Amino acid sequence: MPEPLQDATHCASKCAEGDPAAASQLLPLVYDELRGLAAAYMRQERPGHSLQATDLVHEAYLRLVDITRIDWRGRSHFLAMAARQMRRILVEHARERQAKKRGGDPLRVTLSEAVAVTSGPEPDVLDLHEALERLSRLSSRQSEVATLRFFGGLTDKEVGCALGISERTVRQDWKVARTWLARELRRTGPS
Amino acid sequence: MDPERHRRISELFLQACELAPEARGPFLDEACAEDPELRVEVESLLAQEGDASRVLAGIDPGQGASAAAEALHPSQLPTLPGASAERSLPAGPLPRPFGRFRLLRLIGRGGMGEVYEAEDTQLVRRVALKTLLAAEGRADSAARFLQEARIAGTLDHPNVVPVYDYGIVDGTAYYTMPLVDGHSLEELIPFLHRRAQGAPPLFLEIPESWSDRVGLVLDWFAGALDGLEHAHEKGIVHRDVKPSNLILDSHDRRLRLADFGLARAPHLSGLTRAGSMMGTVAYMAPEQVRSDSGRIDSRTDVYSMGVTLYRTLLDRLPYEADTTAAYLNRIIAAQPDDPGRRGPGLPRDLVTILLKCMEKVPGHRYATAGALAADIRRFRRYEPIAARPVGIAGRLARWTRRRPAVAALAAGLMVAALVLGALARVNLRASAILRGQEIETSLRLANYALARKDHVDALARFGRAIELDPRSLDGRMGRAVVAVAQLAGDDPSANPRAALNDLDVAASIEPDLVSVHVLRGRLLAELGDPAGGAREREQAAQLEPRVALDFRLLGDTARAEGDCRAAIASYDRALADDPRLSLAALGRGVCYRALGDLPRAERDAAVASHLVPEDAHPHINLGNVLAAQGKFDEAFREYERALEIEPATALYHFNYGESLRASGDLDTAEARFRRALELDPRLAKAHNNLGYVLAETERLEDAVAAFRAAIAIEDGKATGKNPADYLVAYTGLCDVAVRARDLGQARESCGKALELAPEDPDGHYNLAALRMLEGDLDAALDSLRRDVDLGDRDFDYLLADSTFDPLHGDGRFQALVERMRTPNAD
Repeated sequence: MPEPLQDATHCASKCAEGDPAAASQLLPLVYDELRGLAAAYMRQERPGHSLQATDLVHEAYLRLVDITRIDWRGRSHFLAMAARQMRRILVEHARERQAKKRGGDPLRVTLSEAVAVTSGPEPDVLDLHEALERLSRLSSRQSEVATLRFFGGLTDKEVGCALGISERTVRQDWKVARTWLARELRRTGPS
Repeated sequence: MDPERHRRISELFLQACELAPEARGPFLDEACAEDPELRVEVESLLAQEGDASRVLAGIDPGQGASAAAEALHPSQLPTLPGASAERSLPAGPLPRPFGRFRLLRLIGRGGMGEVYEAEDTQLVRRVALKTLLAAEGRADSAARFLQEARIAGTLDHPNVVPVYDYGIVDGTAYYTMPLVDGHSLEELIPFLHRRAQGAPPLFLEIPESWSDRVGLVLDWFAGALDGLEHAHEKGIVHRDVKPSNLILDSHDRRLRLADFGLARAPHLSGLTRAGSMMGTVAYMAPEQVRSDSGRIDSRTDVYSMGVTLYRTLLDRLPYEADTTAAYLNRIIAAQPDDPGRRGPGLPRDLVTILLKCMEKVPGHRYATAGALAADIRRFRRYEPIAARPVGIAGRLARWTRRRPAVAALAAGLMVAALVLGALARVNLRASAILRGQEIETSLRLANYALARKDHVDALARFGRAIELDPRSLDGRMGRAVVAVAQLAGDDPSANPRAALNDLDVAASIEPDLVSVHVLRGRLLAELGDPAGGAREREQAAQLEPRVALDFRLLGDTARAEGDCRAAIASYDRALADDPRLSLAALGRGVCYRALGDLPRAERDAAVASHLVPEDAHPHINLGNVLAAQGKFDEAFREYERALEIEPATALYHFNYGESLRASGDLDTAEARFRRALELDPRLAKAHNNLGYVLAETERLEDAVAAFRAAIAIEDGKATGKNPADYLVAYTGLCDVAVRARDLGQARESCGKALELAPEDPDGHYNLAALRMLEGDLDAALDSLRRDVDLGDRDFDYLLADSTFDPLHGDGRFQALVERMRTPNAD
């Protein structure tokens, strides 16, 4: 028998000894872990320091691999989920912070590549979030690609694997998304 | 803007990026010949692309950017037809005479007329002279215009720009006003928000602190509202309150309401062209948008004042929309964007005031401008404002609901505290208003106790909050969180049943909170009810706004782990939530094909390729599923499409080749496999299948070389060796060796193949053939029996295989063939 047809998914690696049930545990774990890490960061937050979103995502990955002893073959999937949760956590936190009006500077967050998009200081998390929401209504895939790059620091390859699209498509989506977002952030940004 | 259009813009943008800058213009000329707006969009992206260097060089991007990249600040929101600049008065050179006036300078041009700086030669004073545009100069318009002027002339208030006189010169109606030395609010807003170029006007001192700036703006508005109230008392509705009609006088620093040019006393409404919408879109009240002229009264101006104040304080409009039509729709139907959403934030009471102005129903707004002014002044004096509207709690709840749901509460304590904070916000606001400070204090201390893991203290303080207000959402949720935390820490004093009760109460206060379901799920699981826990988790997931994506990722994970049924279940959920989620359809199709459900696989692949025609993957998968059903011509078309999109992907050529091989077109198949290997010489699968084609065309030595190449590639891999590739290669080698009567080669490779896959019928078949060559017919029959036991039903192949000719007379062989003829023996 010759080799069978290969469906195009880019993530075909089977996890021989992985526990399929682990997948259903995945989301809450990722969320909990990230919130915990973010909270720990915020507790010891000092002026002038900036929360490194991508670092938190990768730290969560390492910790969960360690804690759960799950063989996360789907590293890209993990990072993708984590990136999305990171976005949610940061947005919630930013809103909460605004509502409380604690004064002082808003929480400073460093997002992977966000500076490259705006060519200026880090954009406001909420501005970016809203711009991404608007983009997702036009192209959910472009918006997703940008989210994974900003909040999870995924590479082209990892983004492609997580979203099931080719690296070439990722590169194109990213190019359009970053330009589109740069324009949006200019339009809406206060400065 | 719709996705299809965005897709087209993206496409053109990417294509233009590939071109040299000077080639882009001609390219867009052609591509957008029939759609100039498309070109504007693409150019605004292209302008952005080259912008980075300029920003870094300290040049403001807004100035140099193309007109297309501009145009989007709220102040530039398009106005309705009627504001067209083309219909201007046939203008001679300035200065020129106009009755007893000398027109000196054109100051502005609006929807209804033009405004000049003019000299009144009789009274020897400078005035602002407003004319009614010639194209509008029909009798009824002129009559209305003069009526307005007459009414506006009766206004006498320091915060209103008065009308001096009015009349008709050469058929053109006009009225005059004092020239106010100052700037409109429209011009001042950029300075208030520190985004203006250059220095602010000299007379304007803008305070450093944000709260002082808010105070300054509120004082201006209180005065302007007094002026508006004066007009309202005379029965005059302005109808066009907006930042450009509010002028800050540089002498007395009063904000003065100008241009009652659209104003009409209610009893003159008969003169208004029926159904025409003449206000400026962004500041229009819902009843104006609906052209519901019967409902336009002073409260319409209150609405516009509210929007103007919103814009002045926040530097943005209360709604967001791409087009005028969409904006109008929002005015009628949407909630204003939460003023606390971003920017420096506003005090709660001020938000309340803004919201009351912008209520959709006039009856819910301040009844008069004076009432609004009074509340603003109370706010400035730190007194309780009058707007304690019934609607405020509801509004806050609405805003809360629109926030992404707070999901997936953790047992981790800091996590719990964070989530509670988020929930508490709503209720802290409400409780501060409605029930005083104590509940708030209790909740704050409770959260603090929770954060430092003092569960006893936390329970006591949440309990106190519940005592004060049994329907305290935070109190109820807080106690439940403590219980979950205690259970996680194996604290025997945990009371999960009481916590479940708290959650029931919480759900009755605020239905659809994700956190309620997540917490309940955890408690039920702890109480030994895993089914209940799963049910709650599911409900939580269903409330999650972006549930589709999460489930798709879960589906991908399950598929990667080889659990196709679990994956399909997740994809189902994702697609139920968002049927356009192409990647979920793609993934589900792959799973269906793996499970052998080809019709469903085909449907999903077709859906995916319809949703994302520009992506190669769906075409490949659709091709695969079509080929698997023998629909080769259709399959080949899909492969061609995929290869148009991505011509250099080796795996696609492999799939195409394999389908060609299956269709019997061996020559073309061979060419495809060779192309795949040019692109990726390490694609073991392509070596293997090339080997099969070579073997089938009797080029046995080349076939052996191909299989050996595949084996060498796998051997060379440090990790991730693919057992399937080894198996195919050794099985192929064994087959070729048997045919070449190379017993040594056959023994080695057949042995390896069986070692890799003891249950593979092909291995046993090949072993049987080897035994035949060795002359051991009994052993050969044993191996054949094993082959049939394992499911081989291809008796045609067996009977045609000359290796087994010596057995044809054997009754045991005939019995085996009989078994193979019986379908589904297992």
